[in-house]
Amino acid sequence: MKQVIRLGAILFLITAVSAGSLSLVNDATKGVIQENAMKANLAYMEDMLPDADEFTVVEDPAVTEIESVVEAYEALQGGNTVGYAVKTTASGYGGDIEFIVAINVDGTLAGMRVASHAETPGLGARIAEADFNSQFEGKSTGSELQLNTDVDAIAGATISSEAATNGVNAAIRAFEDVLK
Amino acid sequence: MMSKKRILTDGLIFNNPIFVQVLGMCPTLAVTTSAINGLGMGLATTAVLFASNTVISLLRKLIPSQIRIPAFIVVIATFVTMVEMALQAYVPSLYSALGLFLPLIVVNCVILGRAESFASKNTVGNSIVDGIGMGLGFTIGLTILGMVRELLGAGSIFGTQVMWASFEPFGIMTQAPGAFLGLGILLAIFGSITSKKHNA
Repeated sequence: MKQVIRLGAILFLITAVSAGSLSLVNDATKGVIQENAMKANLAYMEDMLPDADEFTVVEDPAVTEIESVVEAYEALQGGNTVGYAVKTTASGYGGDIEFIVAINVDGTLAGMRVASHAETPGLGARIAEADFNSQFEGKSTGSELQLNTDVDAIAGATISSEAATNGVNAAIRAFEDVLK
Repeated sequence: MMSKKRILTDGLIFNNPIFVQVLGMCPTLAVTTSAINGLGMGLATTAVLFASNTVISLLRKLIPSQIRIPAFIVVIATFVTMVEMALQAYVPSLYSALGLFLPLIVVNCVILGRAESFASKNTVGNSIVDGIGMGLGFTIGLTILGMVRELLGAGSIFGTQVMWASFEPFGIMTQAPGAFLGLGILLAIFGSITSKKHNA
């Protein structure tokens, strides 16, 4: 019994020191990581909505109440709305996937980009490649998209392809129900 | 008692983790689609190996043998997570290229192998040298394999086109079978060179 407590205490000490040092490193890198993610998101938005010269966060709480929607940005060109960028999440094969979906103000999809994912390299990870995500470009937001009717799934990566479709559909709902 | 020089060359050449011990095959086969990925993975592993060997050697008299494996794994996982966060913050391009394989450094048997067979039995100084030697040996192996696969599979090395313009790349070399083909050929070459030296 004494032995068990001694071993447990040593292991506890090691894990406590690890946890402490990890939280220090996390504190030191968290800001930079967030900034990188913000920069990458902004680059994606500028890429998909090249006419916009400014992106402002949509403050309306009705947007984030829609399931799977994280936040939305209004794309402005000289003060006029040219489109919206919606950040959504959907669960994929390797955890949650974050998408940035851009929608033109006329109700067509300007594009979709994968902001973060942990899908299998070579299979599900290919949802982040242009071959797959360019399929969404130009689609109408009039109705939600169906996998294998409106967009082709990646062979061997149905779950990831479905997640991508769900991510885009969440953005379509946000646009049709609130933003438009 | 082995000299530090001997420990270093052991990791780099004579007991090279890839070409001699054939350890850590999961990252070796998976990430070496290009030279830069191999180099990045190798250096990330070297950083973890260096840090984990140092700490485990420092703690070797404090860790009872019954719980040494969980203790080693906790130490290794901590350093892997630190490297992961540092890469995500400061080298995001490499972070996204290595993706899922970065957290998997935890289960790279080279690292646990060195903790168990070297760092837990040797002085801190020797363990540091061993960590660097083994890590760089791993890095060299991954980089060479990455270069071979990138050269044949994409006609470039470190992203620069080196093959003549009409060269038709063997797409298979950057895919899974190419990893096995490339590694097999490199193992054969390395084996024939080192065995000649032994016999001479």
